[in-house]
Amino acid sequence: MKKVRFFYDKDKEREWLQEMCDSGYQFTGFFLMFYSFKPCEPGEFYYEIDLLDDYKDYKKYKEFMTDLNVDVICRWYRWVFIRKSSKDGRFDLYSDKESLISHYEEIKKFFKFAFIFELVIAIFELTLTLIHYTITSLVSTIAISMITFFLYRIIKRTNQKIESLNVEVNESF
Amino acid sequence: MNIKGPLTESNYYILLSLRNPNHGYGIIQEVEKITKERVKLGPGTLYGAINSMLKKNWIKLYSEDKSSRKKKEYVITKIGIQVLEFEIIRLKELIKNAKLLEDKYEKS
Repeated sequence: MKKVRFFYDKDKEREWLQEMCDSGYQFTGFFLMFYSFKPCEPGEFYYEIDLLDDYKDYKKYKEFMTDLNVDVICRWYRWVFIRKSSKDGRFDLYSDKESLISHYEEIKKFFKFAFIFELVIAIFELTLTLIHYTITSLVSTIAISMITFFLYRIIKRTNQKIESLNVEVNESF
Repeated sequence: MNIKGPLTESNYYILLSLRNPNHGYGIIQEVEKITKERVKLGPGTLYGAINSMLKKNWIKLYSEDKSSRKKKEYVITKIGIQVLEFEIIRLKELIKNAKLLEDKYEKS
């Protein structure tokens, strides 16, 4: 079975994959916006999504995780989809606040880079449209601006997550 | 040596459990055992910590047998032992100063 979804928040994406698994469909692969599923026992696995420092680390990462009984399902650029049998109990990929914060910092950096890239293109497209108006350049300016805005929202949301984690560290009493 | 403040609890226990050569899964089990299951290292936390400590030369690869698919083992280095010792001195100071509170209640 294939499903089409678009996520820009990896926590929401993880939740959805978990819901799918809990209703008897295990996630098996990802391509662009297509998610593949096949039947499984409801709730057989716990899912997680991780971000590699470098996509070239994938082999090393996979070996490391396999030794810890974690299945690495697939990779999409620097993003990896992983799962663990629910028989092993809870699956907390990051077990302390410090490493969870640096995970989100890494995600923020990832999207910041994409944001700046898209912003430069958006400004370029806009200038082009203003100099020489065509319907195509207008449409592409709007499309790229929307992507840029989306990226801005992801960065803002990631920032909120980091902030709330920092508050928990400092004010847990 | 670049130590910025205290070690995180996870890093402290990972370093400590590498006083003898150990592999990833072994580290998780050892830390669970010595903290009576209070600290359960997450795979992502362990992966990040091991890579950053390898980079800082606090730990090193001890063995890697590619032919038999044996798990990679890591072990603490001299620098790592120094880092751990500095941290233990700091922790002992914290405990020693905790007596200030005990003394206050003993007097009253």
